[in-house]
Amino acid sequence: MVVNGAAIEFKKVRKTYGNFVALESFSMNVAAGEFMTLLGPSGSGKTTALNSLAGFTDITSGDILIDGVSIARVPTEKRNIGMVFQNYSLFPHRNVLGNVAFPLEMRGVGRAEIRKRSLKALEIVRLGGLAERMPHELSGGQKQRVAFARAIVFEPRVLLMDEPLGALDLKLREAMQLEIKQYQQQIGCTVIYVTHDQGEALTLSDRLAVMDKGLIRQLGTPQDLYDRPNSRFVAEFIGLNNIIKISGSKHDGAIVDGLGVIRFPSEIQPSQGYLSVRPEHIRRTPTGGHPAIVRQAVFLGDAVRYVVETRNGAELTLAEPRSGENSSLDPGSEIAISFEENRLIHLPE
Amino acid sequence: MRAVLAVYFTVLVLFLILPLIFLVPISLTESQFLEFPPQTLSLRWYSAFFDDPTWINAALLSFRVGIGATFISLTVGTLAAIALVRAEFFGKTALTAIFIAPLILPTVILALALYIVFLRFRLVDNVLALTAAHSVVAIPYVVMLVSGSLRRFDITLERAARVLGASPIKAFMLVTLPYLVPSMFAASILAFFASFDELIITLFVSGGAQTLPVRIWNDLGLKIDPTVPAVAVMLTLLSVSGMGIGELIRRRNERRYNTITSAEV
Repeated sequence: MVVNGAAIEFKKVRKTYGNFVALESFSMNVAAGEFMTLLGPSGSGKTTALNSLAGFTDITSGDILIDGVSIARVPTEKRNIGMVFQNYSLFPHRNVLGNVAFPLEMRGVGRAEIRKRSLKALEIVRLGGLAERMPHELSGGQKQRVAFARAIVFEPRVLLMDEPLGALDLKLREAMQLEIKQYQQQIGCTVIYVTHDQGEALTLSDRLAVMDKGLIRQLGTPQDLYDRPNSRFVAEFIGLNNIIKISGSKHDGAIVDGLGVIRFPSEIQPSQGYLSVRPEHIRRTPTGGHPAIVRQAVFLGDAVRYVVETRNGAELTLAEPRSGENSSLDPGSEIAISFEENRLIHLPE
Repeated sequence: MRAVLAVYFTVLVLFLILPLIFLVPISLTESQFLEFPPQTLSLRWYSAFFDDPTWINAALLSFRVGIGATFISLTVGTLAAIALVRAEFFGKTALTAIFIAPLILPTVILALALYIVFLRFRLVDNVLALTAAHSVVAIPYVVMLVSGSLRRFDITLERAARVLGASPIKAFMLVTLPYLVPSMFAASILAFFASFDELIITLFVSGGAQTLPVRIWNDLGLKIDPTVPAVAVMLTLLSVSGMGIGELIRRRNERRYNTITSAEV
């Protein structure tokens, strides 16, 4: 079961409910076969974007194209899109096979063919033996797999996933992430995946769009967004980050609250905005650096996370791998810290 | 406090079912009269019912009208419930009130109004018209039960059917309707018995045709023999088994659908 994914294009899509703007001039190109994630808090417009592609909501203005053809006026059932829902949405009165067969029945496929293809889809998600079970007899992970098999059985070129792992516990969620990624690479369809879990987004996506208040705040590869966030919102949403206000500049660096003059790896030193630095890019240093006191030490297994406070009141989080020679510190210890200069990021807003 | 509640509970339950329980021995008497406790037991009055064509005809008429009224009210009420729950339109609240009104309105007033209309259009003594009149009192049950069930229905199931290739009507028939079946069944039991034991409207508009309640009523006016309790016991058994089947269907449905509600939490 291999398909060619379809390219998807959102063109200035706008959706309003009365005075509430759910989606504001939403434009995005998804390449054929790409795994694109829409990441954002609830109310950010990510589900609206997905629903307008699925055809559950009519867009106010703009256009949506699949392989260059507008689908804005095409009814949902004619869009030929596979979809996995957050609560599985399996049909409770149909058994597993009946659920998976549903899209094929709707397409008028012959009975023998339906059975063959449904069983094959169940093989892909390794549920071949449970075809006769009823949905209420399945575990959460099994239901999720049935929902996935049902969404791909008719070989759609576009697969939408709306927080498909939201109802599962952490361990199962992580296992299912790997499975989803594996199936997608195996099948080759284009996936648009909606989640509010940034870890999931980083793990799964080829590219991801961080959304807030109906707008895309930043779109790029997971590495782009982790290493080069363009705003405070993105920097805070993805991974742990230290974000400190910049209150001015001197010729040799920016004046950062609680830290003094910090030199950024750029030509022109910023005079306002924020300094952003990841915990793993702050070091303990034997000499020089910024004096600080350890306020909190959190043992993470492979690393220790310290919350430290500089002499001038800046609170920073730093992560230290446990493999080094450094012994762990108790709260109250006095240390000095320094930054990996080329990892310092200036956030304009 | 617990003891007081227990006494209260016992008294209340006895008050509710004791009259029904008394009917059983009374109906099993050998005697010509209603006597409690009966001196000797027999099924005499049960066979009296089956031997008397006026009783049988009355029962058959009641079944005919009841089944007809159930079909009418189930169709009309379900369609109305869909509109009232799913659609947005002017006058929705007023329309909801109109559908429920026959339940609240004094039946005598409804019967009188129907009688006047039926007289005007020469519909008195017409079984179809009687069936339609009965469905008026049955529709509220269907509207209430089905719209309640429809409100609890998870709309994403219908969306899933749509995106997977079902037209709106197919999605409704294949996914939503199966969910509504238990409430429709429960509603049809209530609707059937609303018609089956309807007396007042029938007295006004039937023009002398005897349904079972009318037959009982007429009998009580003349003489009281234990056929009436025998009929009452059979009716009670009928409605209890109807409710039992409804409950079984509802439980099966709950087992299937509760997985959805628990995942929503």
